[in-house]
Amino acid sequence: MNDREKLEQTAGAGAGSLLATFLFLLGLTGAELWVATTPAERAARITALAGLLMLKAGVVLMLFMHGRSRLRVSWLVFAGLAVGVGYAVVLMMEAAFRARLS
Amino acid sequence: MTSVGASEQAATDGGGPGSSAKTSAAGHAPTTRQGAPGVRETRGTVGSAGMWAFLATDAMGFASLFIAYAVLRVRAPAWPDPRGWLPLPPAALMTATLMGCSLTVALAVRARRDAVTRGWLFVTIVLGAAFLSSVAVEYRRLWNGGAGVGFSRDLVASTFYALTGYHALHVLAGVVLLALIVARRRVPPKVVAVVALYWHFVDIAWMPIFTFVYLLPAS
Repeated sequence: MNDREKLEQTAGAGAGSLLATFLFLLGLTGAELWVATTPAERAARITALAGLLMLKAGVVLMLFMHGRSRLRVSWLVFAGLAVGVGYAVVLMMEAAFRARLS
Repeated sequence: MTSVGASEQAATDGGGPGSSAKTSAAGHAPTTRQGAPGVRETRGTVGSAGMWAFLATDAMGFASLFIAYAVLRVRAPAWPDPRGWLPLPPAALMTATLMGCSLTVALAVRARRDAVTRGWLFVTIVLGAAFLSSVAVEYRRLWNGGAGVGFSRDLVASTFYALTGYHALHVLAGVVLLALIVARRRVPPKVVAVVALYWHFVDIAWMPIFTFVYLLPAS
């Protein structure tokens, strides 16, 4: 494999793949809208929305930002978000617990 | 300098000894990149590493706002259902617009010709401006509407404007940055790739806003 082939291999997805990724993201957004408007249990809807959110963010990070080829720096960004999200989840659970006590 | 390094340098400079020869031979400026056309490899470059470091710090900024929003929302005695005052279709359109920005800027990165890169960057600018216009329209509707939702009306309004306004500033910065790049005589491929990272991050940053502010059902 020569240098040009190596570079092209790491260049990322083609136009068709990028368009397919975009359409997939649109589909996930549609799924979010459906989950938000469906008359299901609140906890289930929140869980589904959180899962769809993480999936969308992961798709953009891995496919558009080529996170697979930059795992170390991807985790740097993830760490910033994960710490914040984790802290928020803990605080929310603590607040809900205190609300139940009172 | 290896052939890869020379070709990347030529691509960055928009030409080189080879391209000069092409210019003089063809009588016009070359439109394709030398060495590795359509490839804007940024792995290992200082610009790419610097942008990732900046995005990590910016992620902490957004995370702090989301933490504040989460804590205030959970501890508030009551929180209105977002669908009662934030219509979903415009928000969904804004989400699609930002995802479109990610697509077009990614297409700009992989474009083989300078003119095509500029075209996709211009489309990204248009989509970014459309997003900002949607934000402005929404703010105007909230301010001037029957409910009169101002920034200091209550916690709900303050957190909404803080989150969406902070994000809109990022979009504005991205639009201005792209406009400056498009206005240049040459469009350096590595600069485009680095700026594309920023735009993808702005797209990612909007996703939790859309989910937690517009979609999360009230208790």
